[in-house]
Amino acid sequence: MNGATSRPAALREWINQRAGPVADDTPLIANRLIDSLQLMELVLFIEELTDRPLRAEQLVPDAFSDIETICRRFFDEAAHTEGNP
Amino acid sequence: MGQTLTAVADRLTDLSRQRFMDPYQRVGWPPVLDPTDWQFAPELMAGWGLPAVAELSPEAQKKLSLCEALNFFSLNIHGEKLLLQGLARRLHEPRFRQVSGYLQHFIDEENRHLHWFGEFCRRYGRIYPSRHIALAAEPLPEGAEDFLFFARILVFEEIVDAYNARLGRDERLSPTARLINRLHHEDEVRHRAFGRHLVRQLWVDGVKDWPQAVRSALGQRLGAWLQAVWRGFYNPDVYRDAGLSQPHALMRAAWDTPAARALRHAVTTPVTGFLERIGAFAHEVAA
Repeated sequence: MNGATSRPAALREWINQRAGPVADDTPLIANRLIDSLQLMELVLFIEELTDRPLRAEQLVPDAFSDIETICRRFFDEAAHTEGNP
Repeated sequence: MGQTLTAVADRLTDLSRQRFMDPYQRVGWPPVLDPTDWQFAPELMAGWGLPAVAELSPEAQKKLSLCEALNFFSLNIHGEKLLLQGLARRLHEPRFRQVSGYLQHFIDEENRHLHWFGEFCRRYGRIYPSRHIALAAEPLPEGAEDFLFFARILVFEEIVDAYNARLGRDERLSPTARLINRLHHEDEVRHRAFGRHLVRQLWVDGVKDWPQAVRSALGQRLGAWLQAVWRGFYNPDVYRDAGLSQPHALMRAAWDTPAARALRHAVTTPVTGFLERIGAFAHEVAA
């Protein structure tokens, strides 16, 4: 689960299971496709995918607005800092 | 608000005044905690009974109990910050005038709890961040927002106080951890009594004017809150800091053990039963 290339696919699958099939730029929170409890679970899922806890300043709704944003915010950063926790 | 609630608030105000203290002197802080002491009751730890935890050395289990205590106190910190914000917002509102004297003590007592929890976490570990992200929700009528706020607080306080009550008299715990839990419990007894009276009154006063959509939203949001509170007890940071591998898998396994389900049910039932009796929950919400 830690390979950078598999993370977006795993994320899409996780989202699709809960919100139905959505495009990468579909607003997840604004369209109420995920609720606050699911958002909490999503944070945990991203942490598991990236093998590191998210920082408190990352835990804002805007960071989870759509799949594209989540990938950019969390997976790109994780890939850039791989091996430098 | 009714005369009964006002009388309860007055009586609790008297009790709070009798128990007034200097929280900054009340708890002594040893430079280090004795590593042979438990900081959290083992059978209340989220992962107790899992093979990965049972196989730990006694020293490592004590270390895990420290991380569980840090998580428990961190949950309290996050919950009480929300509580303080909501109480401060309502303190001088005319609709709370009859109970504002007690709200003032409520705020004072929550502030001292924050001091104890924060000191413990900072001195002996860290404050674990909350993963609960508040999302904008459909606005509710003012009275329904008040009800939801105090009902959430009641749910939170009844759950954590079930732990406080046991931890505060557990002789296996370090004197510091035991004392904080005992002092917290002694205050929470009053807060819970007030909370039940106020929540019942807010429901009775408001429900006749709330359409079904509002009543349903209240039930759903309370149910989600209950789940979120319980999720916070199962924190992969605890396992990571205790040196255990695969912390997320452990978190999921801990959530699903029969003992954990039974504990959640036992702790939750009194408050969900109360909410059912006043009509706020149409059916039991599983934790």
